[in-house]
Amino acid sequence: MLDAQNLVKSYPSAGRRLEVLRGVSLHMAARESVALTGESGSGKSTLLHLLGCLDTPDAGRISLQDTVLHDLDETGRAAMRRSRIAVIFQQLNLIPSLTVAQNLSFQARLAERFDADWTAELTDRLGLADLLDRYPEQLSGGQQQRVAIGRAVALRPEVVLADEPTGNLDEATADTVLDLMLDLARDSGAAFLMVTHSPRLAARLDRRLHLEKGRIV
Amino acid sequence: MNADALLKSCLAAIGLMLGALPAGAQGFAGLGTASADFAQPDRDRALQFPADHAAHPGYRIEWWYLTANLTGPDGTPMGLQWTLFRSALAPGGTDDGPEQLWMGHAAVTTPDMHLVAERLARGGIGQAGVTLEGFEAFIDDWAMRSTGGADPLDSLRVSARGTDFAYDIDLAAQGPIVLQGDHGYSMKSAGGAVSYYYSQPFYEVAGTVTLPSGPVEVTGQAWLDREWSSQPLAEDQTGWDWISLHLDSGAKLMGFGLRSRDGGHFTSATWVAPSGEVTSYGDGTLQLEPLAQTEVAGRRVPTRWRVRLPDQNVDLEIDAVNGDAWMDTAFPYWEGPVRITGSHGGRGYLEMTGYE
Amino acid sequence: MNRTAFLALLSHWRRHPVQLVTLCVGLMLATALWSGVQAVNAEARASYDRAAADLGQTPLRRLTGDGPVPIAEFVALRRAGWLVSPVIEGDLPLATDSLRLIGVDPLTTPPRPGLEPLLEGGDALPRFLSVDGLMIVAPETAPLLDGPGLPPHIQSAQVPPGTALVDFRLAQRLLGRDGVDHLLVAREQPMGLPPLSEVTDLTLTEDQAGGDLAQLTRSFHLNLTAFGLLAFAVGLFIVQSAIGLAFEQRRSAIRTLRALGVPLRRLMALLAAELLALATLSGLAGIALGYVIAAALLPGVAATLRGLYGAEVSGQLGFDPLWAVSALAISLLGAAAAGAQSLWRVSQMPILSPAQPRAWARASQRAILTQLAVAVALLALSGALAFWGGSLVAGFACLAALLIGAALALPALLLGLLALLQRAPRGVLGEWLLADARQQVPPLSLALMALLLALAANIGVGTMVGSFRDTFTGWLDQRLAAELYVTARDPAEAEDLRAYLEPRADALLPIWSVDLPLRGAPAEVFGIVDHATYRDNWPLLDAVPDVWDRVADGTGVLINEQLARREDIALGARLEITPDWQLPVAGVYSDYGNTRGQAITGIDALSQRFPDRPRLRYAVRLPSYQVSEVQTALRADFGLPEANAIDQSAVKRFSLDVFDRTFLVSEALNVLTLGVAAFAMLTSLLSLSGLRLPQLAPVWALGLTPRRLAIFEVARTVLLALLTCLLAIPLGLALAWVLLNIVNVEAFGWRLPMTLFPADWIWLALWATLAALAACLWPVLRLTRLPAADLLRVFANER
Repeated sequence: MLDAQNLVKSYPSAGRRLEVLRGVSLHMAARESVALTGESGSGKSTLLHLLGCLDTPDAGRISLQDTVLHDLDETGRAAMRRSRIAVIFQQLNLIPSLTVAQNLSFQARLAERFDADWTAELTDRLGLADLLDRYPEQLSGGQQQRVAIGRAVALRPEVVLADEPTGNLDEATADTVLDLMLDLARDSGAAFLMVTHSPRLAARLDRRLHLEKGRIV
Repeated sequence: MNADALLKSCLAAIGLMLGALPAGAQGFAGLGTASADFAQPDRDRALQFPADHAAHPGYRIEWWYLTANLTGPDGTPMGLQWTLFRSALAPGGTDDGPEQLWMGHAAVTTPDMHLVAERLARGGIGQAGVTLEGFEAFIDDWAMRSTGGADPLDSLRVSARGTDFAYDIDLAAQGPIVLQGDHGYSMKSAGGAVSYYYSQPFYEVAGTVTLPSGPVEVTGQAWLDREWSSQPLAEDQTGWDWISLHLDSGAKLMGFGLRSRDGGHFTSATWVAPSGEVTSYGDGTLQLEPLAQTEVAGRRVPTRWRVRLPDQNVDLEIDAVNGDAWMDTAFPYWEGPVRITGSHGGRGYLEMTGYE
Repeated sequence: MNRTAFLALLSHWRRHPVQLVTLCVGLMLATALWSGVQAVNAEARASYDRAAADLGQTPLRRLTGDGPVPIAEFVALRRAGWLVSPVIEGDLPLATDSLRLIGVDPLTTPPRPGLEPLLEGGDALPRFLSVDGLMIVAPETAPLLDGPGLPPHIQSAQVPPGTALVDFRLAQRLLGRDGVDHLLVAREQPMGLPPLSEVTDLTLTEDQAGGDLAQLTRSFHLNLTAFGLLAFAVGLFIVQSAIGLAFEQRRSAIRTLRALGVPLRRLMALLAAELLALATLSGLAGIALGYVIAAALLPGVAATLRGLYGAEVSGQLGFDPLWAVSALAISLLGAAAAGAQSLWRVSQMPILSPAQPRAWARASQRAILTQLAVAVALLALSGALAFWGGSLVAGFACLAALLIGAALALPALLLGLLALLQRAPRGVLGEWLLADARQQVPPLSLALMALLLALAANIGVGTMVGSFRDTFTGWLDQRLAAELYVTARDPAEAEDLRAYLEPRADALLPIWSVDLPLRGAPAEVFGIVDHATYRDNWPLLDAVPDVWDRVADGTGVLINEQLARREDIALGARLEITPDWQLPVAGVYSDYGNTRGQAITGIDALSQRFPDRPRLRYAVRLPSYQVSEVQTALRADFGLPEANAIDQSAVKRFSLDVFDRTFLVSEALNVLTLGVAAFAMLTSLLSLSGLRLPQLAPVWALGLTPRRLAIFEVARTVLLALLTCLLAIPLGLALAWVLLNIVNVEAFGWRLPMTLFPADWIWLALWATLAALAACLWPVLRLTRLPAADLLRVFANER
């Protein structure tokens, strides 16, 4: 379903190029959940950005179903982000000027795929019913991440990518959030890739990939 | 800008008579510029009196120029000047026409004061001019008026005033009118610059000079020069040094040196015996040698001279009574009384123009 | 330690050069506009002083008679020793304008500016005195004088525009007059003169007119100063936002320095020193720019002053060191005012406060409400002043309270408007657009206030000028009822013209006038014949029932509105025209564009009292199709210059032209203020663009291309500008109302009806949009070029 071949990516750094990814290949099936682990700087986030159409590889191929992603232009990538791939970041996922309710429905409405019942169900399951009229700055970190998950899943994307989504949360909250995320991803039929440095969290996913110095080992 | 500066510049513009001109102009005060459209002196024309006491509007410039060496009751030497200049702005003017521009200078000099006043007027409205009938030369309330005699100039009353001085003096001629140069035809350069020039050097004076401290009765001698021309200087002449001396012997000496740009000196002199007998001397006979200079108005002016006229056994030193006799008028120049020592005693007047 | 700490603080600017530029440019603009206006004012004042000296007015006494002073009288006084000099003045009609001739005698005149060319040698003086003559005019006057029949001219910047200095003989000839107006008496006279009374019958007068121009134009300069202050305030908005941002961003540096042991007091001193240095540099640049602005504005101001007051101001600017010093001082004061708040915040900051920049200048709901309360109080004060003020100062105070109050109310009003908009149905992006716009109101509020003030000033001044112009045009139509206006060159010609025109015209109406002081101020008194032209057309504001009969038989007088208002003269009150001639006021008429008093009575009564005045002007009534025919004939048969037979439309054209030139300056200042407001917006947007990143990155990540983000950014800015513009319209109209009904009445003495110009508002909305576009262009361009990595960094780690 989501397929990546020989991805190479480097960034300019202190006058030379820093090779972050040196030929990474991976394959994910529908409804599969995969943990991506590795040291700081091993290229986890970069790989996630490439898969999420947030950035482009220097070389290599990415495809989702029949769609080739690696040579899309910004408009095409934006369309992918809008309707097929949802990304959850470690922090600041939400649009500060919009309420929780507006944030929850934002991406689905943007993709013209808004489903009121599904969103209501998500709101319930995420325990956000009492927070709908609040603004992001009035929420705790865990609450914010739950809204971000709800927003991603409300879209019914094919792939959900999460970049240390619980990195800023305490352990108990992180577990709750991860459970919700896995449940919802599965129920929505999406493939789920999560970057984490926590082996404990990684263990709860179907499969685990480890990155080291830009390669999967 | 003060009134003085305005007047000054007015005159600088006309190029009237005396003093410094901007570099590049011809001679001083534009007197050396060509003047073909104006009347030119003619050697064969004899001067006629009293007619020639009046203005000659066809000529470019003209003056009635009186200097007097006076003495106060306490013996203080004093100088006095009364001058009326006429300048034609355009050729072909009439006697009293609007194209005539008139300028009056009056001054009183004591050993420690030099008081000056100046007046300007246009012709044609009665503010300034010269009338022959009941002779009067005037500008505003300044006047040189005939008070009788066979010739109008025999007996004169002269008055003028400024903000800080005034005078009113009577003149009585003790000798005849003297024609300068060749019967009044006075050469000013080898190249032909020329003017009509006559004098009355024999005046006895009595009258009142009012100084800032009050009126003073004065007596003394005076000298009247009359001159008119259209181009009294050659184009390369830059200024002149002029003297009129009353010698104790009763003789009078008029002399001038015209300085050329190349350093040359064109001199001329007239020796007047006490009897009134005249001897004219052409270029080179009179020798004028500056001996000492005074710094005045930001420039150095020779105020002590050696004057030699060997033919008359004259070898004099003249020295200014007041070195500061600077005429701070539109056309500035130096004009003041001098003391005479050497082969003869006496007193007189010195005028110097064109010192930058 | 100082040096190290200072360098640490300064390093901020190296990393944020745009902020530095913003700060400096803001301060420079503020200083430039303020000092520019001040320079213009100072130059105008100097011109008045020069004019006073020029007219020989203030210090010099003059001799005048009942009529013209004969030249013989001048000569008699000179011959008596008195230093006097003749002056003759009059207007010489030109094709489109008239030329003020001042005839003097260069040989006897006291020093007078403008005669300098005569002093420079050459042939200027002989030409000046010659029969052909020579005119000395200002450089801006010279192009008007190329017609045939005029003497040649040379230029001097010292001569007031519209004026020609000439020899008095030439002036006599051109004006067709004998004698002169008066003789100036030199301050220093020779010793021992006879008393004047023994020499002449002329009367010696001390001139009182010197202060008039300064008096008359005071309100205009107050106006300019108010504009300058407005511009300065707008500039300070920029400075304050730049300084505020810089201080906020350096909180962590400041905290670290303090943790490293730099005392707070020292730190404050360093920050103040830095501000002082920046303010000095920017202030100097501002002075230079101010000089340029002033030089550019001055010709317009000169036109205004001339059109409104007949005050002659030279179009050339001098440089006054005192002005530069005061401009620098105001620049430093402005920087201090703008920086004080930030310094205070640093002083209050606990040493362990979080180093993360908090949303700078984001006012809380409560702050906005407090601001609104102050605004309401100010607006109430403004209203109170409008109704109970009653003086020019109160009028300006009313304006100030109105503008500041409205500015303070702006954020609350904008939030209200946006809330209203949010109720309308819209898509998800529209929702986001409005929500983000609301969020941006507090940080942008200073810039938006600047924009509001600039737009309101535009509308207010535009409405005032437009209303004035409408009224003026209508009034011209009434007042210029005659078809042709003829001016003879001398009395004999006037008689010939009368004989020629009488059988050809429907009516021949003499226009004869005398300059006289009325109630102590300079004024004109006109004599008119009894004719339907006046009865049907004259713009009377108030009158007794038989007003025209009273005027016709010389038992009543009409006065203009300004005289009535200034001196509070009611109908029926007696007006003293000369000590032995008093008339009851029979009517008041509007007389726009004239600041002097004016009175009208029957021509017979006037000519009896002033038999010697030259009677040269006629208004001619004739069928309009004959106008050009008669004009041609006058030119052919009498050799009358074109300018001496002007038809109605030419006069109107000329009057409106003068009017339009008069208000050029207002327009220029309007544009400048709007420009500064746009710049304020630019700086605010630039300051915000760093803070915007966390707000935009999520939307980008959710699938909006940078290009679409940019479009939304632009739309949001334009939306805010347009809403501000919407609010500026009522504010501008209120401003115009105050200007027309309070300031104008107090300053000029006339009340004008207010006209609305909705088309102008649309234009202004376009301008506001353009200003907003210009302001957001750069920040948005920066946004579209942002690498993905920069956007992604937002989500990565704790920043």
